[in-house]
Amino acid sequence: MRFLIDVFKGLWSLFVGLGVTFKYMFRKKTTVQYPEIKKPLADRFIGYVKMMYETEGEFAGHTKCVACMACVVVCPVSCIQVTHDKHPDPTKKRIANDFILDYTKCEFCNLCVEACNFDAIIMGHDYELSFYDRADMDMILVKDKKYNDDLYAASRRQTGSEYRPIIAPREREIVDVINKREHEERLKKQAEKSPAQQSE
Amino acid sequence: MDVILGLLYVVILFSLVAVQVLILVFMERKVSAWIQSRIGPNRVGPWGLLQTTADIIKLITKENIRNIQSDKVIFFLAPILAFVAPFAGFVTIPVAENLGIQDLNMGAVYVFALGSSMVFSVIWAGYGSNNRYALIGAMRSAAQMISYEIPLVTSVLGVFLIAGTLSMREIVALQESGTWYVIYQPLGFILFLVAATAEANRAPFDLPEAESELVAGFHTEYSGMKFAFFFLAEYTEMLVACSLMTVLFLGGWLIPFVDNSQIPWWIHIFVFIFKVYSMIFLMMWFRWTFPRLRVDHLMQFGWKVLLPFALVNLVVTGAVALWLKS
Repeated sequence: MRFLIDVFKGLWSLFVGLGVTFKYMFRKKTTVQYPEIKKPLADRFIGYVKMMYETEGEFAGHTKCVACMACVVVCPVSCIQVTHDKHPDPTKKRIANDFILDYTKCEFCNLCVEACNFDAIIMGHDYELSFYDRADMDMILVKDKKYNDDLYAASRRQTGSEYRPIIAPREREIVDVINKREHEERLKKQAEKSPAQQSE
Repeated sequence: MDVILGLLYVVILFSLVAVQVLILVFMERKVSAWIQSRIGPNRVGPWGLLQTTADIIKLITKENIRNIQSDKVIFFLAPILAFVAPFAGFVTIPVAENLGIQDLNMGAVYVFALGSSMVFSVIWAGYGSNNRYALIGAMRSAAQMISYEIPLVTSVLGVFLIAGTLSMREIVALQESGTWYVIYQPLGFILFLVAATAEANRAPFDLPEAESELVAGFHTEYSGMKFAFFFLAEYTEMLVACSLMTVLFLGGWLIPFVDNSQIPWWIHIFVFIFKVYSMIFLMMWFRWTFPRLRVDHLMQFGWKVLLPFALVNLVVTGAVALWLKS
């Protein structure tokens, strides 16, 4: 008798299983169609290194980096190159002239960000790290003391997606908000510029 | 003239079967995706319909790799036989009243005989490729196919006892007015479904190619077009098994409770295709629901459960048929 009950239970479990899979067939799909839809990232996500810049005052657009070389020293793979110049602001001493980061070497260890005393670099949220040319992997974050505007546009041109503002991680929320606003303004300016360029 | 006609039949049948297999692979991937709350292929062509076509083009253009120590002739012949055996089974299957290539008076025997010869191709593939996983897969497959052949054939004997004929067309014609043989032979139908799933080497009986245990079983060493032929063979076998189920148990092209002589032939074709695809959907549903059996459990199930039930079914059906006759 017990044996028969077991047999019946076993058979019944097959139908229960079939029922479960049938129900799942009509569930909402969990797939995220990646290139079109992107899931929001966690604040602590580590992507490209991003350069911060002055958004207000006389020296707006100039990098915050004062070329103290803390990041260059701490970098375990020596992927950062910084050249410096005299700062246009007389109250400050130096400013980075060029800030080049070699992504063929970078291992996203976050040590340069931790070493930075001036909140000049943060880990960005950009994660599409593929390139068609090795030369593109030398990312010029600062050019002539100014934040390099073409940088992300160039890398985005290859992947086909749009120029996207990059959001700062948790502790630098104030910087983040300012930068976000700045980026949006830049976006607007670009949008205004681009049709004019096309007509030319 | 007969030769040309025969070649024409082969070409038409092959193109039909190949297209069916393309659809089936696409369907399999979609069904599996839905069951796992995924979307499935949706990039190539509208709704991803051209995905399998692209896959086949990829397989055709791939390099033909052969293990240097493999047995040349056997290695080459195995995928051909694997495909030809179930493919030739289509000859006797009637799609509509007068639409079938040849109605043999021993049609059912012919199909089952061809199904048995599938074992050769699997053993050849395993032996010829000189690979231990392939050989283990082939041995398992041979044991499984021979064991499940017996309940498979025994379970349909009941149908032949009731029908009194082995011709496929006559068996369908006898199921007129809704008296499908699945009503007379429910146990036989279930046994046939289980045994046919095992014969087609599909999950939960996919031990010959158990990915997690044997790499890919008997076709581990195969690549490119030869692999494509094994793939084609698996789905063709499934198609034949489901067509057989439709013909023997589900009334073939007939619509129940309707005067079928009034209905045009093309509706009959659609009815047949609908029935076959429902059965195929059922098999796919099984595959993505049930976990794989262990080898000894598989043998135990085949010999200790399926075969006794099939024999009981046969004896009872025979006794009742005899009693009704006298």
